[in-house]
Amino acid sequence: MKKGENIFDFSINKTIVNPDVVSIGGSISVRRRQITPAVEGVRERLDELFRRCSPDLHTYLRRRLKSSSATADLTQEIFERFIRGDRAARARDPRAYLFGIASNVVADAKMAREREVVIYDSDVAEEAGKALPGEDPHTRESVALEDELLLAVEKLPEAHRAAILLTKRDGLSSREAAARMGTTEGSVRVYVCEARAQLKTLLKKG
Amino acid sequence: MLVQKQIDELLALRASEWLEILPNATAEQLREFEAWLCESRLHVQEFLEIAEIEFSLNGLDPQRQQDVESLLKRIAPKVAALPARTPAGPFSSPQKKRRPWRLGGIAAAACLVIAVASLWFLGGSTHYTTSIGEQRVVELPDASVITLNADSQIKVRLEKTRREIDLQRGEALFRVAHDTRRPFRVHTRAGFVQAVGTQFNVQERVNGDTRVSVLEGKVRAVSTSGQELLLSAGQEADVRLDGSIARREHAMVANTVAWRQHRLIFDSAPLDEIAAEFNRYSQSVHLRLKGLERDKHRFDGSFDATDPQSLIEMLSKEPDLAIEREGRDVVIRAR
Repeated sequence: MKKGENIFDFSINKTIVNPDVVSIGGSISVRRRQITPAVEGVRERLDELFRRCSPDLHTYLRRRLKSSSATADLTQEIFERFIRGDRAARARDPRAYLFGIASNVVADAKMAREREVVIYDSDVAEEAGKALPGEDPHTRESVALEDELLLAVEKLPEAHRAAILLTKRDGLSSREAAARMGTTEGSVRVYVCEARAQLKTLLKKG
Repeated sequence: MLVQKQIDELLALRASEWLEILPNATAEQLREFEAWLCESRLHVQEFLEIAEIEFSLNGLDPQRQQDVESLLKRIAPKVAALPARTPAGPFSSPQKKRRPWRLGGIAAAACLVIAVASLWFLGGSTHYTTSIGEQRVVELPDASVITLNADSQIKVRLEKTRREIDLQRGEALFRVAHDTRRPFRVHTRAGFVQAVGTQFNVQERVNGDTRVSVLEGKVRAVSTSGQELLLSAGQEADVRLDGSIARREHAMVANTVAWRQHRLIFDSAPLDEIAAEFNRYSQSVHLRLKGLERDKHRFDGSFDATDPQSLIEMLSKEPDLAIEREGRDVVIRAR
């Protein structure tokens, strides 16, 4: 891929949606819902979606996960472009749209840095290169995150650890993992959800 | 800072739940997800980071250093299917046809749904029980979701005009599906708590009191003597066996529900209560108090619920306490 190329072409219109930022309490309300068939297009697997993302986005997120304070915080920019962007594209598949926007923002930030670097100073160039390298995601950086993830997995409660190993490492479905664990499919999915959230907390701590 | 940490953890959980729901999301769930992302930049960041973790999990442990077989042997007793009391108990026959994984809206975000092989009948009641160390999630036919803490038991009766739950032992978090025609009531020895559509935690305490903590919406707590108190999100109260109700000022509701992350957070809690909480989680260690005055020993702290040893070590440093082992019992007495 060419540097700075926008792999997701979402045309931006200027409709501004009021973000109405609300408090982020932890409660979740449950309402009875009419269950309708899954929406086409969102069934796409996450890893397929990720393959289309810029490798820079992975690098950026991995650095964020490891709490590297040197990492640029592009959250505000991603958020603003997400809420101001093409409402129809956003509504069609918010997840893919978000990854697209995030990819573009990270790519833009990298381009801006590189431009700065060329004009100004070679030391800065080196630093900027470190901050947002545009390499394949399977670099030293990504291996390091996987090592840290494994250490974090070891700290999970046992049932959570089993659910993650069976479904993610061994590739079992939730139902198959449930059979191995002697529990229900729903419980396995809950364990996986909770484990993922706990892993994030553990990574940030580490 | 503690509260912020709890909020962060709940936010991470919510992002993780969205990730689980999306591949099979309904149009309505998609709209809710979009709205959730638009609410806050923190939601956006959280979702991206959780997705990155999911992506990285694909490359987890390529050398297979983790021994899942021995792990499965160890957890087998803890995650065994629920011992249901009724013949048509939802967990008694895992071979039977299950209801598909389905989630209702943001609720869903909760994604706390269990595939219930449930043969429900109006007017009947069903028991759900958890053993020591086991937490469970139960989705009721009305789409309410109940998360049962370890060593707890509830009885559920869903009728045309009401939804009645008896908390017979322990603690549970209720996410009530909105239905104005059928009030949702949780009964305890000390009274009952009524909600329409909301989320709240009910805990039966060592002394028989009932602690009610509201995460969302409003609930009405009613004691056996008929005293009433309306509680809103973030508020907490104890419904006492003597018929009184005491509002708990400065309560931290997020701490109260930290048990879902297997954390136990105590704020000047008496030792008998702390011991009872740990005993919910450990089959190998049972803490027992001998001849200690209630209220004399109070502690603050945040513990891993599955690690009673950390508490024992802390207590062993107390000059006026002695710790002795008697088989699986750890006896704590005055020195």
